[in-house]
Amino acid sequence: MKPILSVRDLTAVFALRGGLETRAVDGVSLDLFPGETLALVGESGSGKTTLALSLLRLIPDPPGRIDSASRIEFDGTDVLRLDAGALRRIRGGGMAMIFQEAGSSLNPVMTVGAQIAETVRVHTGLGRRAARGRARDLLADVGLSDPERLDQYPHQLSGGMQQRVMIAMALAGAPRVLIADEPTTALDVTIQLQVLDLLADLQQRLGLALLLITHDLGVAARIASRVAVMYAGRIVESAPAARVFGGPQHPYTEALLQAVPRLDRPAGRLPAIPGQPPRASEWPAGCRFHPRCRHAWARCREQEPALLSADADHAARCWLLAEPERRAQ
Amino acid sequence: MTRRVRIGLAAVALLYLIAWLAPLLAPYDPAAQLDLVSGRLLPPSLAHPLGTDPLSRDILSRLLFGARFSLSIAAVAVLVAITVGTAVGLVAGLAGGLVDAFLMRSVDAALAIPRVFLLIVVLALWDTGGLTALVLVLGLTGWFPTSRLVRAEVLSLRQRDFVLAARGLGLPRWRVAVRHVLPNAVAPIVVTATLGVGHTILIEAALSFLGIGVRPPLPSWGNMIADSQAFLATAPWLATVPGVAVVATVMTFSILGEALRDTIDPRRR
Amino acid sequence: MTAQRWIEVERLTKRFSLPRALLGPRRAVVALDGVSLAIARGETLGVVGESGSGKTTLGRCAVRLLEPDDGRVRFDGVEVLTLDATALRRMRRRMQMVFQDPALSLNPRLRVGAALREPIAVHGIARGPRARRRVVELLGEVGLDPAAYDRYPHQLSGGQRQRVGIARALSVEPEFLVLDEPVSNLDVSVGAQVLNLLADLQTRRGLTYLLIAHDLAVVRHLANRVAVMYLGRVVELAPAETLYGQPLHPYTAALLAAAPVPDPGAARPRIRLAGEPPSAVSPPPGCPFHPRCPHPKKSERCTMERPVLREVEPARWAACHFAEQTA
Repeated sequence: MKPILSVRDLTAVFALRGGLETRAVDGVSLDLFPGETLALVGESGSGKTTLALSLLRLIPDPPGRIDSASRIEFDGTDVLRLDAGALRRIRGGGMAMIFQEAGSSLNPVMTVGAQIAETVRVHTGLGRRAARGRARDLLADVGLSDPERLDQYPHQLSGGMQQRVMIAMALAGAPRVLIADEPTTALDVTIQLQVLDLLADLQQRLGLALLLITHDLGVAARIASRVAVMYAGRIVESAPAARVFGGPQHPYTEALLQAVPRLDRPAGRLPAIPGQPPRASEWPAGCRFHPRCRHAWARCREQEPALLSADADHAARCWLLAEPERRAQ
Repeated sequence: MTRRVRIGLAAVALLYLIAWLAPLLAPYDPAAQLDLVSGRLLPPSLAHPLGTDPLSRDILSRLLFGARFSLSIAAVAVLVAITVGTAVGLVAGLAGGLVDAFLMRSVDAALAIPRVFLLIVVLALWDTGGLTALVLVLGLTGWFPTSRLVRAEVLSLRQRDFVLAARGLGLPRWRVAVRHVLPNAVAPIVVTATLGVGHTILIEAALSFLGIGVRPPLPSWGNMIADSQAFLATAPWLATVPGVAVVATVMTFSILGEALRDTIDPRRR
Repeated sequence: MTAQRWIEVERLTKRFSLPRALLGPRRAVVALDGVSLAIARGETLGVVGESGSGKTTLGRCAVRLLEPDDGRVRFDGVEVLTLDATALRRMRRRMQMVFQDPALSLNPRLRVGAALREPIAVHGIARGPRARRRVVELLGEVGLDPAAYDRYPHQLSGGQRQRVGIARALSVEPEFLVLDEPVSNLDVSVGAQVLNLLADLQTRRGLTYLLIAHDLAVVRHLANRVAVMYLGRVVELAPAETLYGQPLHPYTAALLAAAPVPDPGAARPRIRLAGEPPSAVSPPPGCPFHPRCPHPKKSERCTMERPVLREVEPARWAACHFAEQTA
């Protein structure tokens, strides 16, 4: 099966004051297949949000730009080479995105129905009444079946409902790929569950490919089929979900799973990761995780590892895969 | 601090330096009527780089001393305005309730009166006050927008966690107000103050033009322009020189003010 | 007054009035609805709840950063709410708060050193070079480099700022700390460090904590007992492990089932709550949770009669008519 979205060597460069440049996303490659959920997991500074925005070329230029060696292929088309018109059609039509704070992403002076209908009309050319009907159907699809919703304003809805509206808008153009950037971070836990269930359900019914970006490992565990872990602008581990959580190969992933407070482990002192995630302007030399890694040795300080294969579908950017005897005890 | 801000600050500093050094830089005494017989209305020459006025006074000297008056009056007036405005805004924002309501409604009422008319009336009545009156009245009619700005900042700062923390640590109220709220509320004032100086120079020039600002024989760009009205056709430099001075000075402050606004706003917000 | 009830809140009520239309009806959000809790000396009481539960309001009222509309707060036998300004200022030394957002909880214009010296000087704890030494000691105690003394908050990372916030709270030598979402704005790897720090500080200084969080897993790491709040009321209160193992209230069970766990294979009870938390302006009659409650025994009684927080088993309290049958 061919991937619906294929990213190769994506690098996003930002210009800082004083002529410096940083690479918030540095040579990232990934594939997204129809019908699967890929969770992109990372902490702040990992580059995950920049990556998401790059996919739809939403990075403001200046100060950011996508390096010319990058390739983003959606359904065979190179997104980076599209002209403005074709790009607009892809945004929402082929790939759609939902964001963290639904409240800020909705127009406060337009009714919910009007906003969705507008998106419908842009992507399908339907007339006003037909678009409104479609908006009603989309709202029902996301669990807001009360017809009154169409004429409500965003501020009249709760956070969870606003997020559902955003999802409905994202689906208006019948996209094949849905990119969700921290869609549940601002929501209460019980509402988060509803939204995640909704996303999983929609994905199944509509055959979507879902790229879920999150810092929350538990959220990834709930609906992801595959997980890619990002650190300092790079993907450091990539594997099916069960393997990443059950048998992580990269020390960062391992340490993260230990450091997170978990309900399924007894309460006790948390083995915290020393130090903090590096800023984009201060990537360490060699392996970017080495200053915080308990296994690090000379090779890690000097040479950055490539993504090495642990298995057919499991890769990790760590020299331990080449020299497993170096693992500290 | 961006380049624009640096350039603007340098330009303003240069203006004030020139004004301060006027006694040294001016070739003649600005009030000296040098030669009423044949020295009146002379065009620009080596002896008089900007010519002489109807009373044979050297225009360059008068321009430099005029700068001294205009720039210092504006600076002090703006200082008075932002001091009063900040104090009122701080009190209103922190006290809330009736105090706030009373202060802000008073500000609203005062703002309803056109400032220039108020200035004209007060200065015409208080004609013995001289420069002190001018500065005070300019300052005391110009603090209202500042108070609103400061109050708005204070209101939003009151809810911030670090202010709450300061109260929680048992710091006395005055200390919280002065050390924690005030320093964080003054950012927008820098911009209004800078633009305010330019604005005040313009108002002072207008008042002097009307004869109620800086009064003769003291030189002010405004009264220099007034004196030049009868000679626009025969000696146009009498009007253009002070006119250009006013425009250039006000523009300098505007540019600095805008540059400051650009640096302050996006970073803090 | 026993050590078991060293800090007590009794029937604490707080309302926030909403803007009203001219001549319209007065509307208010009931943030706290008669909450009563006690904390033992040296213990950590965790308070969990979602947005609108009132947990943050509870924390602020407990240290009188907010004035409650009704109820009492007792600290070591002293009635906190009736203290005059001077006595309150002295009392403030004993109870402090650590805030949620490290970016907003420090004065951006003050260097770290100055910010930490201020409370030390104001309370007369130390002056001049001695004050400086104390600050440097504090910085070390929270795991910060002495160089942080001269830094501004914006020059520090989130984790470092949070440590400064903790140091500031410790500067007046408190005995009781309210921790309001201390790690929710931090990265996971950094949050773990801060939780460990808080645990160490508690042991070393003999502190008592009121830990407020929406994340059940975070609370579990420090709390001895946990209270669950919903719509301004405590709906369950029990020792931590008991609560997590066998919740008595259906809302607690739903929270536990919804909490994300980094294990795709984990067997979780499938509890889904319908709908949204109801409006705190006009809560439904009877049990506030009943519209969303999935309890099999839910009945008409739930819509009419408000359940009282009762001791269902020794030391296990729940506000549910059918708490005995939740398991």
